[in-house]
Amino acid sequence: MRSASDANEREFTRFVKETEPRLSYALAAAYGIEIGAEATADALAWAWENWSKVEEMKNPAGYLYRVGQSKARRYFRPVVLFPAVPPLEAPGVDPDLHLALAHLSKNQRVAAVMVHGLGYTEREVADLLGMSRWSVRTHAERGLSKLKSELEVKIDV
Amino acid sequence: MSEIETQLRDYFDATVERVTVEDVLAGQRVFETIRPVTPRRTWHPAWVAVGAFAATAVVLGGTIGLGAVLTGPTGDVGSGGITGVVREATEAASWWWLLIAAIAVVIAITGALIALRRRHETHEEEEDTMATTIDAPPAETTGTADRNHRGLIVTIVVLAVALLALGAWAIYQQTAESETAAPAAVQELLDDYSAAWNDYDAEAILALTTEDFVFVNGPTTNDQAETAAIVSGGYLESIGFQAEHVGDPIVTGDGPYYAAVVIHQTITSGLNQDGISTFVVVDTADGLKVKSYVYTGPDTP
Repeated sequence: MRSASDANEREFTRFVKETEPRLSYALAAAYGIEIGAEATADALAWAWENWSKVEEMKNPAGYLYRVGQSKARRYFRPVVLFPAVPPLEAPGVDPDLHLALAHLSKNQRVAAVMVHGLGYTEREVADLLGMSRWSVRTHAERGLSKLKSELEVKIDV
Repeated sequence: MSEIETQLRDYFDATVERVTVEDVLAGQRVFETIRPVTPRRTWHPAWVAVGAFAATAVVLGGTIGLGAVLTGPTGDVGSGGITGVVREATEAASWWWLLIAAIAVVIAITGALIALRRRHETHEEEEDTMATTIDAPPAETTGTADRNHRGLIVTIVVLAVALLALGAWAIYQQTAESETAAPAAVQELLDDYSAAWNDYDAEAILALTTEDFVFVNGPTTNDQAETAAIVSGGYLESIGFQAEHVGDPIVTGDGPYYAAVVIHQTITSGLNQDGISTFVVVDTADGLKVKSYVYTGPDTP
């Protein structure tokens, strides 16, 4: 009995290590930093409670993203979705990036951040969001171009 | 500044609070420790309100609708029975629906309040349990409770607005019906007039027409007494004359009223003929009466 539980815990640990980053970043990009963290924690807690079901799923990350979406809707939407970061913490980041992010649509933000910022493949992001690869590409491109135009490309050469 | 892609990565690396497996497992252990022995399932009050409203509307509305279908309107076509019954049924239906909506709103609000109270009790139980297990108070209960209140208030407001709209609609229907009450009475009079011809009833003709009534049929004009004599003289009865209105009459004017209706005439020997009847109806001290009746048929010169 104990060993079965340990095996589950090991499997779950492996699953969390593999899935959590994608989930955390995607939910943070979708619902803001604060709610994204809460929603990710809730989704993973749900996954552990329903582990026997989750481990059988073909696309558990996509399912948990939807669980996270449901959980995120239970929280108050904060006034500031994306806080400014102190320049010392992220020196190369435009001080207006957080404002520009808030002006994108949810899908554009998630796709642009995941594909262009964090290097996930379009397929991985498509599985997570439950949309086609082409939609992800379109959202990502539009999101990135909006960000660029809003920040007026203050980039070092 | 760095490339925008790099900025995005740096920003999210700097701000996103990552969740570790230890956090999840530890949180779950704490939850299992403090979970009540028999956890109570609580429903969101807003959903309870919506569900109760829908269920009540479907059950009561379905029952009444089924009853209406099974009993159905009765009456003889041509004698005015069916139109009268349908009209009355329509008038009654709007009030039935209003009553059903009112009952559904009351049940919905009651259900929502019960759900809200149960939810509060559950929260209090959980808080008590947590307070005895760990010193720190629960973090997110306040926000969730506030949001529940907001959802409940929105639901109640929506239901109340729906009820008000239904009430306004019912009042509007009632007003519209009273505005068209005279044409309905005219139609009833014409139905009775037609029935008097079909029953060969001279007394009914005299009662339904004015003293200066005229019946014009082509070149022939008959006054009230002559018309009564035609109706009850025995000739129409001997040939089995019957006339039915085809559809509802068109009524215009607001006193005197002018009406026209297609009639279908039959006699025992097999004649089938359509024609048009036009009426002038006036309001007298004894109520609405037919002042003139003009028949135009295919053979009218």
